[in-house]
Amino acid sequence: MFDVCIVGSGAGAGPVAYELCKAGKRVVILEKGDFYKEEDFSKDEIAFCRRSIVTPKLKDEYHVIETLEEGKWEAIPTYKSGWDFWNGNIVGGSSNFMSGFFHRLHPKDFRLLSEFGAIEGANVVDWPIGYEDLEPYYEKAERIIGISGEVTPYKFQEPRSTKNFPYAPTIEHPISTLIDRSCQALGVVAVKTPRAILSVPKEDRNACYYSNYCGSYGCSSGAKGSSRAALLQPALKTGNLTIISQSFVKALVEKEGRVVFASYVEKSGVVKTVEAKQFVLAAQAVESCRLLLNSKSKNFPQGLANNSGQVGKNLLFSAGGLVTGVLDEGVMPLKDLMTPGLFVNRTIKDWYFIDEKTKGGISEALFEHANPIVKANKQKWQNGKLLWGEPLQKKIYEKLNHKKQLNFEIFNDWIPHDDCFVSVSPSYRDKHGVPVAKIRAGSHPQNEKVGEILADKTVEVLKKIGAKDISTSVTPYPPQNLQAGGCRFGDDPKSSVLDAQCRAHEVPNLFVTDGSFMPTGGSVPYTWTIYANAFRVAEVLKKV
Amino acid sequence: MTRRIFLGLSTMSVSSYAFFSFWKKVDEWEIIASVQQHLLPQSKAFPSADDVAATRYLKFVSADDSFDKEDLAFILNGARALQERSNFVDASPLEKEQILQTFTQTAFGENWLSLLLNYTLEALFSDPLYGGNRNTIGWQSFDHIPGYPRPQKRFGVVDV
Repeated sequence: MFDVCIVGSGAGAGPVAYELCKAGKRVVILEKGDFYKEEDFSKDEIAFCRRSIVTPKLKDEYHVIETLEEGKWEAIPTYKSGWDFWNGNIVGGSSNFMSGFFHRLHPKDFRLLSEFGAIEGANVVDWPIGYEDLEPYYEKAERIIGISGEVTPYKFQEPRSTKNFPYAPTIEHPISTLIDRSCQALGVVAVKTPRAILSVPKEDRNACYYSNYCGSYGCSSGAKGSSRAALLQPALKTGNLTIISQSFVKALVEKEGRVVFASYVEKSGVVKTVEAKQFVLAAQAVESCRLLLNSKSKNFPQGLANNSGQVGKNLLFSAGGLVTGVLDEGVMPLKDLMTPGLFVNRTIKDWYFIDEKTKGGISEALFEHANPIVKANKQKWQNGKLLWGEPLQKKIYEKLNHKKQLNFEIFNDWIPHDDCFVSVSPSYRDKHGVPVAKIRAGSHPQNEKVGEILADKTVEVLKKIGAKDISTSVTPYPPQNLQAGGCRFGDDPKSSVLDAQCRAHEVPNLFVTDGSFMPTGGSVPYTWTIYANAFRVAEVLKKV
Repeated sequence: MTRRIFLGLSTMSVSSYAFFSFWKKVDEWEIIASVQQHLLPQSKAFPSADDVAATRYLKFVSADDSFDKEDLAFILNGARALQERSNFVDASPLEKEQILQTFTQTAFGENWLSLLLNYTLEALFSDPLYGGNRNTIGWQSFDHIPGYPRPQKRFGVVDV
């Protein structure tokens, strides 16, 4: 029997495996996908960006997404819509494919209700812990994951226990200086973006080699701080970690209020079980909720740890959208503008709080991904009509060599409310016969309202930079790669699934360490907070 | 309307085009090659669809398990529809241009050509490992620097 069984291997799983294996515990990870190592990753746009190689085929395994269309909830399976909600199902999870811009939450994010008051039609609450409880683990993640950066003072600077980042920033593109100047002229600070990418080697991992193909691709040098590279590979070296890949967990089986084994299906279809003393669920928010809801028993007729009916509720994505502009030789010499591979590393966080009553968010600058097929494909449309022949060839050449698209990704709070949740239904089953996750993806009106405010402010920055063809897109639709919530932590077992230590109120040997625990999401990508919280929960698990 | 719904309509469209079928039967891949060559013609600076082996690429990738088989059926159906309606293969370059302009005025035709363009551009810029971008001519003629490491295996397959 293992000491700990972890379901999933991404950002919520890695810190637990790393810490417990180092402490001498025997840990097993069940991961539904393959085990890719550094040498298996390449910059193959076909494999990693154009086909579902690292995610299941939607006809085999899908989600059902419910959106509000003309006042009615409309449920469409993703194999029909093509709207894929899988995010990298391999060892290390979607952290293999992130761009790695990392931000801490702000202390006020931990007490959103107290700071900003209730929002009509929303379920905003305070967290059961404060920023000071998580700060040591944000710092630990900086050291162990390897976060590079440099603290830029700005008006809402979150407190730090160390003066600066343990790794110097990655090398920056000339655009960064232009962004700084443009922001300065507008009286705004552009902070240097902390990045989970190594600027120098660390243990067995090489430094970033500026491949120009980073986000959406696995890292070939180990510089990207994925759960696999930074945590699981070192954990394997202890000899205490067993990773069983290609194993999909169907159910956690409970006896007398404790989980006794995980039941999983191998790729061959054979069903097996793993026994452990403690179980940790970290399969990403939607899939973790699905597994609990599908793990029904006499003690838990609505699903494991769900006698409160709270599992799956208050699911979070990230609100916001995209502001884009096109840069050409009008802003700087082409040889500088077209420099490949270097990072933009700039975030505007001055709008994190808009006024005393309104929580804002961030605007994150990055270049459009280098992918030539994606870029070429976009050129085939001209004034709403298809373009081909020599005019298309010339347009593609121009796009690849004379223009660069600067994007600002807007992140603001996805407001938790009753119309955003995960459920399961016997009408929709995957190839194993297991009910799939049905996601009601309703957006609270506040999401778009704040997103629009941030987008308008960002447009001014792009204008100052000298960008052309500026466009904004703020929609009520959720970004499928930014998931949290669904298993809220809190002090009251009636209104939350987990306690403050992320242990299920009703099941003492069950912990959830992916982003599901978050009652509110903050206005930044979740990964750093998931890493930090999983390091925090690992301390609890060391002692049980 | 989503592309999937158009795909569903594609069978209907083919049967209606069949009414116009006066021409000799031509292999779908020959029709596809002929259209691709018109989409990416030989020019002074840029390689043609033939130069980058765009049809070979599409045949190759569409045989793989990772390829959407509805897409393949749609591409083949569309090619038949185009040929039956217009004898595209035997038309002059000027006529071909006119035929495609007319064909893309329908939602069916526009979706079909858009999808074929998608896979033709994949052939232009994908790693030569997949059968297109012959001798990296696509990358070279567009002054494109590929990412490294380049793939050693197709479709990201790992040894387990």
